[in-house]
Amino acid sequence: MMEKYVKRYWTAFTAALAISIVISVFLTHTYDVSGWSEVCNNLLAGEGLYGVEGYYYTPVWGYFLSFLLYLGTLFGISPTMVQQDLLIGLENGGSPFTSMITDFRFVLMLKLFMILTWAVNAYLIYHIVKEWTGEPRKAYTASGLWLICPLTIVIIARSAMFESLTVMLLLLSLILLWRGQYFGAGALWAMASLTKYFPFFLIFIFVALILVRNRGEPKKALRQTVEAVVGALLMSMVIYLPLIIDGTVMDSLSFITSRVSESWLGIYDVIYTVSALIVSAYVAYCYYKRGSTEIGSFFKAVLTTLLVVYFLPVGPEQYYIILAPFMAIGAVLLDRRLGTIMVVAYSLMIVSPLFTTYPSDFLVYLNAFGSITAAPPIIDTIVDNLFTAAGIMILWLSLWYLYKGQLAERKALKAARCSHEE
Amino acid sequence: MKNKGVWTVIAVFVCLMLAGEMLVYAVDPYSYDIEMTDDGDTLYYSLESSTSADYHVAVLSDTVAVGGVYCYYDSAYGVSMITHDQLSLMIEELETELDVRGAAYEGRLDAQELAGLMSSDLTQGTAAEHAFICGAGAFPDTVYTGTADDLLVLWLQAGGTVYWINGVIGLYSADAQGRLTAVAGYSELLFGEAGAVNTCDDMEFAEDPGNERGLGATLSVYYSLINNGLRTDLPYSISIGFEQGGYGSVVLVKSADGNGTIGVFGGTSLRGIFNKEAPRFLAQVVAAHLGYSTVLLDAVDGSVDDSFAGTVDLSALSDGKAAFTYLGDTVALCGKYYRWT
Repeated sequence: MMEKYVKRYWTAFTAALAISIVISVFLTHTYDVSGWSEVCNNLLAGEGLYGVEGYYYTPVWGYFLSFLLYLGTLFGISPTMVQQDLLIGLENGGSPFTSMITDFRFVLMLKLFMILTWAVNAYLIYHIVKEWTGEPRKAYTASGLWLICPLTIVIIARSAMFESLTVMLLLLSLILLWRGQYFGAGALWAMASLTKYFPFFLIFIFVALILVRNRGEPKKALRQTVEAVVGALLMSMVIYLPLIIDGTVMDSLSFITSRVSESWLGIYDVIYTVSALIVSAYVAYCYYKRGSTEIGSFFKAVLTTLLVVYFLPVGPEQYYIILAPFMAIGAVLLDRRLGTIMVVAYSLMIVSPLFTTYPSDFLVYLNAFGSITAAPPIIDTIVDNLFTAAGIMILWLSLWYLYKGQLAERKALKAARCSHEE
Repeated sequence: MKNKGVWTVIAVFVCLMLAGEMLVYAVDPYSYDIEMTDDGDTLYYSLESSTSADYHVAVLSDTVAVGGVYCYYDSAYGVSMITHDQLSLMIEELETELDVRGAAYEGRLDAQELAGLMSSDLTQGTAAEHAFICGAGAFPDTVYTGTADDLLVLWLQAGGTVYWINGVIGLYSADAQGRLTAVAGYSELLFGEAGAVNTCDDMEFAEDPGNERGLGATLSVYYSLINNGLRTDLPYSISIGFEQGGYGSVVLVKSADGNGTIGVFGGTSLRGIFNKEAPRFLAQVVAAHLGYSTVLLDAVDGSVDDSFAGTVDLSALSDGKAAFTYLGDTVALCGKYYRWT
């Protein structure tokens, strides 16, 4: 007999999957999907990922795109992208839309791949919590929270953004790390960081876990750290060797370097990144000094690190997806209120992406709108950004809940000390 | 092994990534080819494509610079609106785009070599066969100082072609010490009248189609920046992009006192900023050998998967002397220019 919560889980899965597919088919984000199409057209033209303008990220997602492109061509699906004179007004530099209409089947293929990673992530979250707690109910709850995360569904289904892939690689790294398979953990951490750089901030806490596990055994700690480093370096070499030979390593970092060169935004990014690195290192240090090998202690430090990284706006809403599975796991491992925070914050964060969503090419095929004869309205971004800001501020509550007890303890200790002195 | 599922996920996704990497760097499974011939009355084109792709055939009159196109680049000479590094990147990108389209690209020329080419063209009467691209924001003083007997002015009068992007064309003359000298009366000198260029440096975008937008659309030139663009009402000019307030984003005009072509893209080509596609569109115009009087006589398009052969009836197109065919759309996968006599 299937437990009630298991039934609820599968109902949530089915509903979320159905919503994802419906959004994937009928809606799109022309700017992002035309970007993927442009990259694939450059690959078709033999220009690789960095030969001409189009791809600004580290290469991992580009490699996946390359595979998906090839898969598509086997079925006659090409990344056709046609610009429209009537939409040229959107090419004004500040628009979240573009005049490019990208082939519906190609875009759907990318979206389905992302939906696949979303489903795999649900499985991995289930697996992690079950392995760590031995409680299936908690495992289903955490996995379910990921499944119903509104932001993840919207981003994947409208623009095939690849945060879900980063999440998958990071979760795999975490699984191996906890199991003590450090070589693999290092390799997958590198792969995740070279997909989108946010997992990089976890380097300190991952190393701290090895040190905590080997207190008093420096040689063993060193050996295990070296194992992880070798894994990370080897994977990085596998990913980067062709770029080193090609001389395009710097091109692969333009996602970061172009931001740095952009006036105040660049200054903000640099200061914020350096601050986040320092605080991440400090969190790891505190964990090393006072933490234990118990999963709650370690995971609290991991979640704290990510909450610090995402404390202030770091970019478009999709970047916050990488935090989502950790909030879900934290909800069953540390404090159930994290689940509520996650759902509320991520619901607010879908407002902005929804403002920049457009009917997909499929609707054009169906002639549902006659044809595209008008540019979509550009909505004042202050309004939607307010929702995102509110979501980020709600995420701050997580830190409060995580450390409220500790602060109260300290306060009580201080009070006791004062009264003792009196 | 604790869990087969986790290892299966790792194995599958690492293999997918490696397969993708191999497809980018080790195997190139994609190939495209275009062949064209004619018998005077009919143009025959055959296309090969390893993937499903759109194709476009444009039959054109009065194309220019069939002898070859060059790119001016001299790191010692001054630049405007762009740094040397940015210019180098832009040219690198442009060269790649020209190569994709099978353009008759002959390479880079420094200031001295550019002067050499123009002198030789003037001596041999071959100016009409050559074009050069200038993205430096200034012409070098070896060919241009702002006087009527400058090599550039004489070369344009003799039928040469210049394609320009980045800044106000003719406003600056650059020297070998990296300095720029402002040129008075540049508009009259190059275009025969004052105020031909939009001197606004702030980004301005246009939406209305130019007078020869059909040609631009057939070539998938979707470029809409008009700051530093040319006026669209200049005599003997075509505007193939978009226009607003009397200025066009891509305008090709007859040079003053002669038969040369000056093609100007508005805006700047700075990599990674808004009009990042500039080299792509510039390459398309150059590869199609467009001049100030080029007319789109006929256009055929469709989709090809594997191979396709088609014809265009030329008997009614007496002015037709050339065709530019390309696979792809905004992003071209392959291109070819074909000219007949």
